[in-house]
Amino acid sequence: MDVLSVCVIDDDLAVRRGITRLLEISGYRVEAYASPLAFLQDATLSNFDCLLMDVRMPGFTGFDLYDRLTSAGCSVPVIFITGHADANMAGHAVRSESVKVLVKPFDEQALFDAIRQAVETARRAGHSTGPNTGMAARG
Amino acid sequence: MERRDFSTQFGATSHPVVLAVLVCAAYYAAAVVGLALRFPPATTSVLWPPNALLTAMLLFTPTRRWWLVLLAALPAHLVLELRNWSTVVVAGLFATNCSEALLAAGGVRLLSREPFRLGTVRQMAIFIGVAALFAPLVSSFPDAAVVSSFHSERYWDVWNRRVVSNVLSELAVVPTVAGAIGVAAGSLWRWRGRRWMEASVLFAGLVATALLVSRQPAFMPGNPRWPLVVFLPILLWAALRFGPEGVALSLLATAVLTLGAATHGVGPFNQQSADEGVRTLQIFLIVVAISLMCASALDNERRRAERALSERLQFEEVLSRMSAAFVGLPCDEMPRAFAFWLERLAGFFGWRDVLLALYDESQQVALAHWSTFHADPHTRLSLRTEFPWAVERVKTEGAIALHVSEDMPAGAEQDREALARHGLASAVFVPLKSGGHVGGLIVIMTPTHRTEWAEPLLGKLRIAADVLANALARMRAEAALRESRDELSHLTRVSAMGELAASLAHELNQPLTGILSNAQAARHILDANERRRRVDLQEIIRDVVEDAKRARDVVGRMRDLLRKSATERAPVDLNELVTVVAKIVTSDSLIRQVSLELDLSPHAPRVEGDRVQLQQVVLNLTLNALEAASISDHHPRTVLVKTEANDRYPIHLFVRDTGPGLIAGSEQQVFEPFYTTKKSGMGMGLAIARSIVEAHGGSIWAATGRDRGAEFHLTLPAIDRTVTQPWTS
Repeated sequence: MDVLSVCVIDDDLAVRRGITRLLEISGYRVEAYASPLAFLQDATLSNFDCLLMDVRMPGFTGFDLYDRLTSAGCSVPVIFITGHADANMAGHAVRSESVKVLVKPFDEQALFDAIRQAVETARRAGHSTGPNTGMAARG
Repeated sequence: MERRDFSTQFGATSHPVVLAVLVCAAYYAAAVVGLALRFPPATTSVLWPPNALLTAMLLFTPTRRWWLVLLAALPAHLVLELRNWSTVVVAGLFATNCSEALLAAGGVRLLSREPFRLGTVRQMAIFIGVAALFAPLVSSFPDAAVVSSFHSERYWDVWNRRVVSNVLSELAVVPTVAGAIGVAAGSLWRWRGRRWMEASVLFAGLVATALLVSRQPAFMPGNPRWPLVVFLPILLWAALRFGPEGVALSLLATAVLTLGAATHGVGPFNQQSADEGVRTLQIFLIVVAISLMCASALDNERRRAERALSERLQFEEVLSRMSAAFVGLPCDEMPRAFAFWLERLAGFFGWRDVLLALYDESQQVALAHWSTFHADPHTRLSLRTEFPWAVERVKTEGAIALHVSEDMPAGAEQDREALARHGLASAVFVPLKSGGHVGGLIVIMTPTHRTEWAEPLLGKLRIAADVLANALARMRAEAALRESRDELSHLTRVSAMGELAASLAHELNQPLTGILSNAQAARHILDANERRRRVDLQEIIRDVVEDAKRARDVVGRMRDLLRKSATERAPVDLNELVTVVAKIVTSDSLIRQVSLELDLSPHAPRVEGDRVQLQQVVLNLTLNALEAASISDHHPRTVLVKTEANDRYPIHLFVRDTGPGLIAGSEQQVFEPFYTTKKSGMGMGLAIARSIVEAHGGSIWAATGRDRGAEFHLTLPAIDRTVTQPWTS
């Protein structure tokens, strides 16, 4: 089983450190960014198997980033982590199968399951930009 | 206002020996005068003051001492008359003299139940009818019998002579003696310089007229009747300016002078016309006396009515000032006003001790009270325990009077003992009734003597109590209103909290996520048991502790806002407050995608106030601004919170948003309760904010901002300005 790479994007230091530590201890490779802008600037998207991103971030929210990525044709699976259940979230979640929502604070098992599911779904869909990918289903 | 009741006090309180000596000496002097005014060989004098003197003395002593007065006169009478006449006659004459005095004084006392005073027409009429006319008339019968049988004078001549001379004496002497007793009581010291001068002029005029009459100048007719006319103006003047006592004194002086002249053939009286002249003089003087004394009594009554009216007007003035003072008075200042007006009332009525007590909810006394107990600052009166009977009765029965003497109803013993213990003679309890509900009491206590608490006075007290009762009711209503506003403020805070619950939950979830992840990671490390991970464990534990504290702080802040706090005053840094609020609403601003900017002046001084309440105001304004900014399409969506300090406003804070702005003309209306433009919302936030800001001595207002959004400004006084404490029940 190869090592999965996960990117954590959350403006809160406690959350970033905690999740990073947990994932590393559990055998993932983790990179963490404090804001979507920083991520867009410094990260190489192809390095990651999965993105974990917070919704509420100053200036550029998780949704904004998600929209940006999908419109750029990125097919990396995204998991939203949030402490607040809100209508927008539900709307987005329904629309796309490759988007998963985790509510903070979450159990490690839930996290690992979500990551595994997201990666498997993406692999099944392939990394192609064909019409069957989950991204295109965005509407 | 409380006139000394001198008449009975004089005779009652003086030592018996002193009284006897006084009576004796006065009788002697009067008899000397009377004996001089005679036409010998007639027994009866032209003017006989002693009987009238006795009448006056009896009227001023209590009945039980009358024997003393009459007995004291006996020696003087004997000494003088035994010289001239036989023992039998002297004894007989004394008996008739005493009978006249007894008839006169007894009759007056019987008919007029008040103490002897010639102030009203009724009293004057009783005096004239009984003492001046009836008594001499009746007592002359036996007198004439004695004289005519022993001195061979004609019965009806004697009777005639005696009646006329004694009527005149009674009329002239009794009021004069009354006036003399009044002088002894010190009423003369109340006269001012001008009055003294007037009296002196009057007296000088009298003497001058008498001399004029006796000189019999050439331009005056030789008719013995004309002196009557000449004396009239002086007597009239005395009647109108000096009352019945003044008339009587002038009359007495006139009588003595003129009758003296007549009996000794001086002036226009020669020997032939003497008898007739005297008779004319006597009749003239009697008629003049009766007329002038009635006129004087009428005048007195008018003056008294005027004085009563003037007193009433003065009271009305005090009352209207008191009412005006309480209208619109803020409730914080009411306690001071109560104390002030209590003193004014006490001063107006001349009382020393007035007390105002309030009932609490269970209608037990003395929640708070104000009193004018100057004399002894340690005097504490517990109304409920010391005067239980009065305090209970006054709730249902209106004003209750209490006296230390015996004639109080059963059940009032404890109250009476309390009165005696505090050295008081009388007290009156007046309830403060407003809208049928008794809110308190006024108690007035008099130390020296029993006060009757007559109806006119009670009426005035009730009116004053009414004013105070209404003010009290208003004070209580405002306190209740403030309490329910605090309650509502608490509820609003709770609902505002409900709005924030979502974002606060998020705030808590961040550190909790950290804690949970860290703890799970730690468990893995321990399972793996790798030594090089020890450092990691230490870091993990450190982070866990930090995150837990952060969670605790968030909960603490939430609890602060929820806690219903009494108004506390402490120095508050407004900048720090704004920073805390900004932290609380961070998540909210993110949800709404509005950027929150802070521009905090480093020079802003501190405010003295309640931190929680001020935080609520800032929170409310900021949340409103965020919500407004989020509903507009105007980009960028910002909310600015700025503090500054300048000369105009020591502390100025404003919140500006880029929302749709205020509805035109609603800048005042937004602060009214139940005004809201939100779909869900009570509309109380700004109303409560305003009442908090104003309670801190500041002001809050709304305006249209630069970029057509809304601006909410608030100013507060800096910390060295004193803020008054509201009175809390």
